[in-house]
Amino acid sequence: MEETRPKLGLSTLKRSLGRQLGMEKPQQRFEKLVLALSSDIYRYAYFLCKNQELAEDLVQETFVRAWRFLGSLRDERKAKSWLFTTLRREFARQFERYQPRFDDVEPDLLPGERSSQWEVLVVRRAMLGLPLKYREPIVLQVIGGYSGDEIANMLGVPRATVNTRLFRARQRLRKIFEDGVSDIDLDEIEVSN
Amino acid sequence: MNCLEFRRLIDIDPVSQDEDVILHKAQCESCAGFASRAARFSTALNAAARIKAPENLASRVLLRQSFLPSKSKFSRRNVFALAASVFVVLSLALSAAVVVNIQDPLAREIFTLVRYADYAMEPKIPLGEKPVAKAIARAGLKLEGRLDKVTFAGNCLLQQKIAGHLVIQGEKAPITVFLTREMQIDSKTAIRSDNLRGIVVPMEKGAIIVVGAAGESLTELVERVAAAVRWRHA
Ligand SMILES: [Zn+2]
Repeated sequence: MEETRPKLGLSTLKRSLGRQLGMEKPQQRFEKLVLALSSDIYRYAYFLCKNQELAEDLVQETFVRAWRFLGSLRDERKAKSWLFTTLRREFARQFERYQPRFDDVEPDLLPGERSSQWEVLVVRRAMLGLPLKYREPIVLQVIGGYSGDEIANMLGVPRATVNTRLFRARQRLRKIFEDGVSDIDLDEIEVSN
Repeated sequence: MNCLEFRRLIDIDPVSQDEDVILHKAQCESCAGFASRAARFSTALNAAARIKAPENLASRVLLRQSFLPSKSKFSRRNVFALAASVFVVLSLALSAAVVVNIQDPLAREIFTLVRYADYAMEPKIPLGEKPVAKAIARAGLKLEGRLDKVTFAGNCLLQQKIAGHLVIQGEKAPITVFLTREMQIDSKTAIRSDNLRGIVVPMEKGAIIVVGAAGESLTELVERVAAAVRWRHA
């Protein structure tokens, strides 16, 4: 009799906690990650490799790895940086083997942006024209929404270095945005500390 | 905070919520103007970064994952859940396949499957009879003879139906074989993409489909497969 009595004990609590903590089946977890994050992962990939086809390959590889190591992701809130870091490694790995080709076709913009399409295209070209070491922090900041500390962590460089690169990259892009041209040599921009 | 410090901070982080930054902006007209120009630039920068991801990217990622081994085996329930969702996904993903001389949707589906199943190409060690028989049985067929050099045996969805999916080592490269008893084909058909050749051969019910690199003797392989597999319920 004792066993059949409904209990509001530990197991009920664990189940409801489990749900709240997102302890779902791997397939569901994975689908959620893909639906929520694949676009941003793709954008990051595109700005790293500058090629749409290669970017999609990188995204695919990243999620293949994510599926394989899903069990090691304990906290869903860390999923995005986990995927970004995985993609970054995958890019480094592929970059050693292939010389990425340049895209001739520019990817579409999302509709309904407030800036004029022209301005946006100018800025995007300027972003793609930045050397990788300047491009990557600003892409992590803008697409990933990461703070300077987080970017420093992901790139494995000091916070001050990240600040310098962000500052120089933004200076250059803003000049291009405002004047349409830039003759700034990035490495020459003074950063007062 | 002085104007220089303010401007430098805005250039590093235009949406800084730092108290000093907010205070300085409220007090200094010139820097407030600088901040609003920077904000306009930031809007353009955000838009520039938000490129449109390809159509159906998420679907293609999930499609690829559906072919990956899972810890909890590829259960029958999974297969049917996939049948419902993945084929929709598959037909959307087909646009990525390169088809040179054939506009046939089946050909495109076949090449897409081969292209996305690159994991199936990796193993180089021949399998024993058991996994091969199992994969074939899942497609409603029966392995009755010997099939050599099979390095991958699994199942996939072809035209929404479970098909046997084998990789057999060819002369130069691995050859993919699909076996299905769920397909209506009138006659033997050659299919080709830019770097792959294939043949679709009708059986009494269903078909054998073989895809490999140019120069492989595909017809011979079809004959070997046809001789080893019995086309009836397992
Ligand atoms: Zn000021």
